[in-house]
Amino acid sequence: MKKYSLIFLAFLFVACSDFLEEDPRGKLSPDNFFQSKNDLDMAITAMYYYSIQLNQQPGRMIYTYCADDVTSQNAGNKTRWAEFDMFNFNSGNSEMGNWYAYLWRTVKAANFVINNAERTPASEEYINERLGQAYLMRAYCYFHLVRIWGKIPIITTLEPDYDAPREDVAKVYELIESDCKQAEKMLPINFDSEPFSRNGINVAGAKGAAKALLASVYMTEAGWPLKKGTEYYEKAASKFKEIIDNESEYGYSLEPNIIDLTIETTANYSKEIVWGEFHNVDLSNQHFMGPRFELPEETGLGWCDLMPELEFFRSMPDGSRKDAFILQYVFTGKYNDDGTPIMLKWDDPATNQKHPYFRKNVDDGATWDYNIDSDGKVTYTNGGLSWKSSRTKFLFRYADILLMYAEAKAFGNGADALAYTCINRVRTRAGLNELSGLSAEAFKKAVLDERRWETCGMEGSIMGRFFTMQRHEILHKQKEYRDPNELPLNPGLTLSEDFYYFPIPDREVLIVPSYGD
Amino acid sequence: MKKINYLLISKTIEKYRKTKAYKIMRILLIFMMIGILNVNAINSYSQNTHMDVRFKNTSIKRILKFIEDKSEFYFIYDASVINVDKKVSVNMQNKLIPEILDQIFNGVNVEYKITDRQIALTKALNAVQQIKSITGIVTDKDGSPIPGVTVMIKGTNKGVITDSNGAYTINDVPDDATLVFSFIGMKTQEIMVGKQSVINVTMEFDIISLDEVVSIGYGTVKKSDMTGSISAVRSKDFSEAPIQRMEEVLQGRASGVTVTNSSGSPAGNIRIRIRGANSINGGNEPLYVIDGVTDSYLFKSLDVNDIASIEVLKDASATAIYGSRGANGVILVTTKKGKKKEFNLTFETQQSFATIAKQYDMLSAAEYAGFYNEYRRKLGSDHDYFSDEEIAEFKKTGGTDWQDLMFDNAYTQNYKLSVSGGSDRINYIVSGNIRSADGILVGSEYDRYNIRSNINADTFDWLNINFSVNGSYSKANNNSDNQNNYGHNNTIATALTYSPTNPLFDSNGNWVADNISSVLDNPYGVRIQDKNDQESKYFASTLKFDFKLPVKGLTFSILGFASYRNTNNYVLYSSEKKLHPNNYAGNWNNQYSNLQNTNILTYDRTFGKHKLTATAVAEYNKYQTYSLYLTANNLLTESVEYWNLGIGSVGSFGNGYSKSTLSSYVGRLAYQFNNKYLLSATIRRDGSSKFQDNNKWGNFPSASVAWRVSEEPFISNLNVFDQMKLRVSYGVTGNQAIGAYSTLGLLHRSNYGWGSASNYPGYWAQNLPTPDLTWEKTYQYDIGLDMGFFNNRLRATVDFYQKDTKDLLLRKAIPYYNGGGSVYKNLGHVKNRGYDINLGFDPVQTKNVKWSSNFNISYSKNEVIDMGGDERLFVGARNNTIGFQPYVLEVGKPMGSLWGYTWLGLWKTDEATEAAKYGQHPGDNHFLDINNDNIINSDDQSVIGKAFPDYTLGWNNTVSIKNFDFNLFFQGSFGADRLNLTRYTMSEATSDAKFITSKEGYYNMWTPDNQETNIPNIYSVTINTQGGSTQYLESANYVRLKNFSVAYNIPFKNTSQISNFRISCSAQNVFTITNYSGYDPEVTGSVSDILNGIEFGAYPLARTFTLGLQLTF
Repeated sequence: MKKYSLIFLAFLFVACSDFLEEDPRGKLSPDNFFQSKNDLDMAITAMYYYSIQLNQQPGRMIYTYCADDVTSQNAGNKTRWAEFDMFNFNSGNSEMGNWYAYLWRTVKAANFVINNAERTPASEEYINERLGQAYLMRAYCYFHLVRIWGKIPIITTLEPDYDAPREDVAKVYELIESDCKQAEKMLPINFDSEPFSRNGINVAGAKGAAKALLASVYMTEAGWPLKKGTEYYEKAASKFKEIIDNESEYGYSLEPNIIDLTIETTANYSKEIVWGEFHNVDLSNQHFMGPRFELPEETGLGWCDLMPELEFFRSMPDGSRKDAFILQYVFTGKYNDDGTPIMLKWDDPATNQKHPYFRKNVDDGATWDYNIDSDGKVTYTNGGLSWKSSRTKFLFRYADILLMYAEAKAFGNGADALAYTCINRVRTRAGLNELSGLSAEAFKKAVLDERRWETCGMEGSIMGRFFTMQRHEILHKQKEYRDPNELPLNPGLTLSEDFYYFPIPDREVLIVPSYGD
Repeated sequence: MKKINYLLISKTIEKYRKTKAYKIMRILLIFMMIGILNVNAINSYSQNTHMDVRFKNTSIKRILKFIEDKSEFYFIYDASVINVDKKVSVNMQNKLIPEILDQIFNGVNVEYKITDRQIALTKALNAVQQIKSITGIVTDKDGSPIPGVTVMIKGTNKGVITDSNGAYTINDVPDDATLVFSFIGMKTQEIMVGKQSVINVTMEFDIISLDEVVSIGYGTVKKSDMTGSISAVRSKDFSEAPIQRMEEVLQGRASGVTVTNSSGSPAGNIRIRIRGANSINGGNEPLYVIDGVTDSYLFKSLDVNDIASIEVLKDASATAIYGSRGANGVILVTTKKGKKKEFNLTFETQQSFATIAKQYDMLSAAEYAGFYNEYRRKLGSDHDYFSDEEIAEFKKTGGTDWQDLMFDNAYTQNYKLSVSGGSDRINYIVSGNIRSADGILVGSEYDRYNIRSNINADTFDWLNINFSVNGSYSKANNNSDNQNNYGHNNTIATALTYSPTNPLFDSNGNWVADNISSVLDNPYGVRIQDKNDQESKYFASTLKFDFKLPVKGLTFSILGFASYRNTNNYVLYSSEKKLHPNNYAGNWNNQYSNLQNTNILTYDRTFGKHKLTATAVAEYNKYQTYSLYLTANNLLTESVEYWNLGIGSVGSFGNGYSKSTLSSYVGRLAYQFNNKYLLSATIRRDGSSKFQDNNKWGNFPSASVAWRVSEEPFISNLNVFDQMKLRVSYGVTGNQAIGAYSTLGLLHRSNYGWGSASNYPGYWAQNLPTPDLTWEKTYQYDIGLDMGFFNNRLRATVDFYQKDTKDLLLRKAIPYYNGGGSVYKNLGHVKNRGYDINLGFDPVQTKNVKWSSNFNISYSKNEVIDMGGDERLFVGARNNTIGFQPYVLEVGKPMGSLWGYTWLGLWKTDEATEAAKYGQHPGDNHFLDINNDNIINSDDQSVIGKAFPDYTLGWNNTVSIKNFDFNLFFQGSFGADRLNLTRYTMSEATSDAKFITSKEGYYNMWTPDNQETNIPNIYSVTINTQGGSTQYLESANYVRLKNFSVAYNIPFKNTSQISNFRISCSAQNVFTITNYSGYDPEVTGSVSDILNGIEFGAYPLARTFTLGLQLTF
């Protein structure tokens, strides 16, 4: 009977042998990728998509809160930032976890290009212009990782390795230097077509960015923790100098009016951008989540997640730069009878936070406007500012390249004429007087202060204030000068790896338990 | 001398017990001799023997015995044919035996034949009577035909059995005969033939319902023969409640099944789980099989009134026949069929009125304004925010009551017209249904139009054809119910945290955003002006051929099914009246097709005490999806809503295709011995396209045994049990609920615009190929007991089970340094243990009053045993309101665990020193410091609660008193927790909801005089507020009166055109007994098994009043 039935069924339904084969129509598979130039371009585009997530939300740059220029509130969803502002490190902190995760994801996307680019049927030049970008990107990510977490694994392949060891910091720097040099060699000074260049500037990282990164790496190696000293400061200075000496060829210049660096319409493609992170509000997950992040709650549009520290604010000299970067009046949400907005000075007891605010990333050039005229009269309009914007984040800004040259010389063989020229170009634009004839120590202090003011807030700088304080071993010294009205610092804060490095995020430790040791 | 029908007697042999059979054998032997030899014996003894026979009102049996004792005569007769218990009076003296017999059988339809000393008694045939054929159809109360009903001519051994359509034809029936219709589990009916030639019968279930027929997948079985664990729901169990959605039919009505409304929106998701959730990443939806077709959307698109019965297959012996898709249980639906030779037209309508069942106590505008002034003053402000005039104005106007604005009374209409009927060989049912439902949340609507037809034709004796068609169109507006964060889509939470002082519009007519309390856009504006609409068109058709093969007991059926579904989602995010800064619109189109072919060969025979059913199945499924989407930004005008994306700038667009196939071969053997010992074994072999090479194929075996203990004398002699059956089963089922192509490691698309507003395509190797991946397997044991007491007026079914799901389709986390994310691996182990109890009882069963009651309780305990070495996994995204990931999987804890701080209360004034160690003050939150480091941070978090209940129960009562029917249905859930973030954001100042809006938050706040409270001191800067803690974790236990209804059946004379006219009046969600402080303890806005348990602005269930009318011609 059984036999009969089976034959019967088999006769009726002879299933096609490929009935159970998968048919991934329209999908791309790793096997048949890198078969054309366009495949390589698509891999580069994906890599950049992940890299722009890094600074997409200012709160993600959690390390910046450890520096002495910014603070937050210790309440609600802001506690994740306040923890780091106070040096109460918390390995479960989701923002720290995201920063770590996104850096590594970008490393993976870069590795995908580095390991496969040479399969592409294209000229060496074509491949190098792209491979160089992947090396630059990988160096950038490792540079952040090694400075924030110290010993980290070196990952150059795509297969998961649950036992990858944490490598010595020096070994990681070897990889970073090597990647930077590859990028410097392969990348052109200027890309000549979209999307790698637009509006006259490089959107993708070019040779100038590679040089700036390599110089920054040298300068970092000179300080804590490797402390390679003068030799590396001088290596940094000469690498910065290669850019400065050829600024017109590279196309870098300072934005004449500093306010233009804070207005989206002029800032996004400024000639001052050496390397940028380019956002767009119209594309999914490519916006910058800035404007409301920095504004006071009283405006009805602000979240008050980021505020200047009071000591920092007071230290900053008045001038066009301070007016452009700092918001000193708070809108009450109410209007006078003549229609003018009722504004309160930041230290008015009726304000919620009794803090000034940053305005560096706020102005979209359209719906928001804030001005203090020469008589001190404040005008303020807020036409429905979105929490999203297309603002470009400045990974390297030419003003800071100038200042870093000055810093490298100051801590190297001593300030030269170019160092003074560099710092004075920045100070002049900021509305400050020129410096000259300072003692070596005074010049060191002047250049560190200048960099603190110029790159304050969260502009996304690869060499921002936190890293400067870490290199120069002054991170723990803010205990001595922090305003008592700020969130209290951890009393145990000292110069030690426990505070100068962050804990490996919980999730990583859950997967690789040895990373918790 | 009349002829005797020897054959008639011989046919009855089998029916007799040993003594009787012996006697009949003797008779038969004699009759055969008579027949063969054809000898007419000389009746000399009877001609010469005279007797005295005198009896008054004595049974014939006793009189015959007397004659046998006093003479050499002996009688042969069939006691089932001759009514020997009939009492007669006889007064005969010295008479011959024929005369005496004539007197005894006077007026009784008996003939006798005397052969020497033997007297054979037979029933007489009346020569003048009409002999004719009777035909008819036997159906149940719902009009479904019942095959296998025995139709006998009373007093004879002549009978037939109804065919698969419930039809019968019985020949040679005299006018004065009575037909006896009997079927196990149904009340036996007797009907006088008279002048009728067509007799249709509606059978009613006997109280003894253990013998109804249940579907078991690729076949049916009598409930008494069942060896697996199955919960059955019949239309009578839910017909009294105006249920709008298929999923709700099972809530509280089937043991072992947990049904949860995730939302009160008319198109909200409903979560169905059978005996808990097995799989962490592989999906836990049960398999839906509708008339043999696996299509979950067909299930959801059905109208409840089209259902004849639903069976829920729970244990592995029942589900293993569905192999790789059986691990989550199977829901089998049988739809109604038309009746032969009967025409019915039914119109029914329900008109419902729904309203929010519970409201929060919110601060009035004046209270809020006063509080805000007070707050600012205490924080050092030297002037008031709200002037006295403004507060006076708020007192007068009341400000804006956001809660009242957001919820409105909702009206729902439901209409259904159905026609059924048939001729000898064809029966059909066609129905149309229109439902238009409004939700209680302003702007939410759902409309659905449904048609269905089912045609059945007996073409040849050996072929039956069934053809059915389903079509439906639905449109849902603004039903989004994914509410876990404080965000744009969470308008309920936004409204509850909006300042009551905030007007709706400014003087320019633009929407006003809150500038004190909430950071989000005007929630009422979002409900009114933004659009989020879904449109769905669905068509499904089944054609089935049933062949009777030329081998006795062998049947073959072929089923072909095709369904097509087209869904469109439309979104408009509006910037008109400055609701949002920028506008945006999008269309998403998806097309789904599902093809199925099923071929079933069944062999069903009884050999003496052995009963055998063998089934072989070959089945093929193919699913395909096509998708297209397009979005646009900055539309130049919104007057065209989302219908002209060309007037905006290009946002994103894309398309896609996916296909998956499944080949299956099934064998099942069911064997019964002596009606007492039952055995069933199945094996299914499935091949899935989703896995690669050798991993495509999996085998899923199961076996079960059952023992009808009540058939054993040592139990039946106790006279306690009417029924008792012990069942034991074990089996393996699978889960393949991963997406097509998941194992191929295809490149991932990540586009980037390089700063411009249009994307450049990007691809990279985000995923890894996993060619070793294969089925997730669930091993299930079940032991069950079915019992019946008090004439089966009390029936109990108890099942204990344990399910071990191993080789989970687990998303194993990849280290961040390798790019993070996860990869599917067959890793881990989840255990579910529990029991299901179902009690049915009929406390009152009189002619006029009937009360039937069904109570069920399901207990299930879920535990994560292993996750491939990981002790703990955080799942889902960070919740912005509490600042961390609240959902966790931890070894030793159930799936759906919640993570957070343990709240110990507020620091009291006499605890100031202790509080100072944490930098805190009295009135601040006091959390458990697990590692005693005087810092409250993530090291002090742990599992604090669980999203899913331990127990769910249902109690359904149907009472009929004369023409009135009442239904009272309770449903409850125990053991689940809810993290009530709605209450948190209303009663504390949080980051995004910056001020207090609830009465509780203001009037119950900590002060030195009010320390025993849960609301911390808002004026403290060291408050350490943490929504993700036990502070706002509440028990979600509840019992609710889910339905109360009264119906009146208006009596009509038989001559009337109207056969049934019924008016009903009912209320749903009448009351809820719960300590949960939120709107509703049932809803969470999530159907996930691992991301659940937070209630944050979830759409509450409505209290509904319904007026119904049913008219049948």
